[in-house]
Amino acid sequence: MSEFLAWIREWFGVDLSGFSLVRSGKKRIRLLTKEAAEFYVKDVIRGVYLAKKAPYGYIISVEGSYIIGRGASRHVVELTEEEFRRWMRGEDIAVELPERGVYLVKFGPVFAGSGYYNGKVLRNLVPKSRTVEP
Amino acid sequence: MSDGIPEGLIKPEFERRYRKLLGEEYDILLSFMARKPIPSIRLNPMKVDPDWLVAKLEESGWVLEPIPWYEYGYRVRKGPERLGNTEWHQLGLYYVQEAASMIPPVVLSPGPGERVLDLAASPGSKTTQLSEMMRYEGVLVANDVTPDRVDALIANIQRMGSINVIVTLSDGRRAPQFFGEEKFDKVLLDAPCSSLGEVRRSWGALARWSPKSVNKIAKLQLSLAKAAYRVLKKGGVMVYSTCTLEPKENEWVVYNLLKLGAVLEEPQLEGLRWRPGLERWMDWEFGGELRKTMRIYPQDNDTIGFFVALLRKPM
Ligand SMILES: C[S@@+](CC[C@H](N)C(=O)[O-])C[C@H]1O[C@@H](n2cnc3c(N)ncnc32)[C@H](O)[C@@H]1O
Repeated sequence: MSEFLAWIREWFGVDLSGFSLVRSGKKRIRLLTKEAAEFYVKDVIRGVYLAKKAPYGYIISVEGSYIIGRGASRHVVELTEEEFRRWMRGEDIAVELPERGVYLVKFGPVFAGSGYYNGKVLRNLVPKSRTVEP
Repeated sequence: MSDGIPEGLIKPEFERRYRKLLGEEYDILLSFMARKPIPSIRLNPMKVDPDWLVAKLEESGWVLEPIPWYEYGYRVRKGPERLGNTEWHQLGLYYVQEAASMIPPVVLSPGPGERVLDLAASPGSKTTQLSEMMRYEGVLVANDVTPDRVDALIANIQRMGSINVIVTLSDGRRAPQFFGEEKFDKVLLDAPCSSLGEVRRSWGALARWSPKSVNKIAKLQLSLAKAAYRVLKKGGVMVYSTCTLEPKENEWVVYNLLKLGAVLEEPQLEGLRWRPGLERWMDWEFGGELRKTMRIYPQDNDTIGFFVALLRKPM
């Protein structure tokens, strides 16, 4: 977990220490409020899925993108409305970005998950269940 | 002839009871039951500035009309056919929720910092609304007994980003054993019911309706309500709601909670038309207190039907 927190701090400039983070399975990380983490009850699940380990860092979920994105000082890409609509249909977007790696996607005040920039396109990492059907 | 409702679907006993309950208005009830409900959405103020989203939707040709009793609720007078297949829905900026279904959380009125239980929570329309009303502060436990339905609950909590919610899977009738006595400041019991209020969505409830099935479900509701009351702290408040109009599932259940010492409070809601609960029905004398409960008929606000009661556990 400390590796993840350090990555978030380094890559986006965001400190998540105000929240509680829990591992879920081998690769996934969930986030919830500290109060909800401290409440004793036999649960099925708590909070929301935030991120998943990937070879190039972490895939950030849609919810993660707005929790982290609001405070992020770098690696956020702002799309035009036309690009955003295509993004939400699951398409990759051709853009030019400063360096390879994971970017949070933004349109106006709205965050829309994350993508991996491979030097040519921003690869869409939004799960299919969260995209719009044509 | 019952205004669009297929012939034979209404049982003679149903007609007898509801004519008795509503008199002349019975036919109006049926005419509303025959109409599809007006689609409505609840915006998520925790993910987006609601004014920005409203402007964006209107820019794309949607026609929205504010729902008076919940500040982030809107009826969609004109909009896409599939409200669940838009960018904004998929990002969790709104939830498709019938206007009357937004009432129980407003009546419960949870505040940040409270410990709240939603005892029959799936698929989470009210859970996610409660969580947003709490501004993701405090703790909200969302429970249901049906594993498949809990999956839908989890998906909705994820989509709406409700980070103060804990999901549990248990039989609500055993809530005191599962959670412990007097654990919560507020409890919502949006009970399983005969769903007559939902006939506008599907005829199924009319087809299934029978005095026997109503009695059976009323028994389950009372067990759930008693358990909900036990996990409520002294001084705490509880909302009992159903989407049905059956007195046995509504006033009768609340009347039995009053016998345990619960005290009814009269909800205050802007812009909503509702009728006082029944003082008597068939052989039961529920008493004047029951007038503090809310009967919301489809024809009152052009919504689905609902019943809502607000109860306090004395100190
Ligand atoms: C009217 S629905 C709840 C709707 C939900 N509150 C919402 O707004 O999305 C009733 C729920 O009660 C659940 N239920 C039925 N029996 C139960 C029990 N014994 N304990 C807990 N939940 C139960 C059903 O699985 C169903 O999801």
